[in-house]
Amino acid sequence: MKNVNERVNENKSSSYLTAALVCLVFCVGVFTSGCSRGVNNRLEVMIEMPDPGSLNFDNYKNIIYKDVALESIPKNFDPTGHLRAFFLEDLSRTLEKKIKHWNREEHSEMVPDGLALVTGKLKLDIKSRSKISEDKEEGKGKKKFITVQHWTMTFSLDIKDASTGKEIFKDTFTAKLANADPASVKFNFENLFYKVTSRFVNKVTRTKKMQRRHLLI
Amino acid sequence: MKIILIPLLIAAVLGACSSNKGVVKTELEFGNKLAKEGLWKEAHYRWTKVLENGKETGSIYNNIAIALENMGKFDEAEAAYKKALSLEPNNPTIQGNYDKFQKYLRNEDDSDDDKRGKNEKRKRKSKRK
Repeated sequence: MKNVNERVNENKSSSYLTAALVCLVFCVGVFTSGCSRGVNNRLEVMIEMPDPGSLNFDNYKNIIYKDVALESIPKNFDPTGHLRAFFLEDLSRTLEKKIKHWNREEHSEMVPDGLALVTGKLKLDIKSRSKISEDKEEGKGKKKFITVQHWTMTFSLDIKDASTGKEIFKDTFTAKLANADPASVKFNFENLFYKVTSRFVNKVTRTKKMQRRHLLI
Repeated sequence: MKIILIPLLIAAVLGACSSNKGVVKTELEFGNKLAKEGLWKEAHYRWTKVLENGKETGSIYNNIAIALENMGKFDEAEAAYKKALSLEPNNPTIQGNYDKFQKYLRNEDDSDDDKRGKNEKRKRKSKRK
């Protein structure tokens, strides 16, 4: 027969054992959760990133085109219409953003926040040269002097953030056309204008590149 | 009896705390799922909500930075990466992502990620067909 003291001691030791077990389970739980927090699980993802050289027009609610300055343009030809058509229609369509033409009365008091201003300079350099041309149609290869032109178009573009006055884009595009017919001014101009504007659009539009990153989960 | 009660009380308090963590965890996991599907704007929204709930970790800032990169918000992405690294300076994953991001900005990225990504995209499209 066990005496009362022994029984009390037994009860005490069993309660200590239970407490120790609970503490052990609790500590193991805390330890494992701590460990799982220390180790990060990664998830590989491919993201489509805009080219850093391209322009982000998402921050601009309004884009305004102010007629570019013209230099050395042939007297009987006015390219203003071509330029306006390119910026207000073609570029607007490409960027999926409405581009408005600068109007002093309407835009001079406009809030500059979220406003991008597009302007620049278009310069033509036309050099006339005489060239010997062989007329093969007449059979004997009759030679004659003709005048040809070498055209160089330099298109400098400048896009500014109206709120900060900071240039967000500035570049110059050049295209050349050799042995051009002096009578086809419009054709020559359009030929070069297409080249420079294509380069500009390629540079400005947001081409995307895939990049690999790791999310932490 | 007291000895048994103390750990149980601590466990109860921790359990109560974890109910808020549960909400955070749900938002976090939902954000990860959205990112997996390519819904980066929504994923970004979920992760910023986790931040609003007071859970600032390097992992969340890392994920937010990736979402911002995808949206073309490079300045904000840089700030998020810096914050992530300040919270977890020795995390190799965050550091790796940040290094790749900086290389990309400097146009020095020589990885085949673009080719690989485009191939994967093509495969996914052909599978769908």
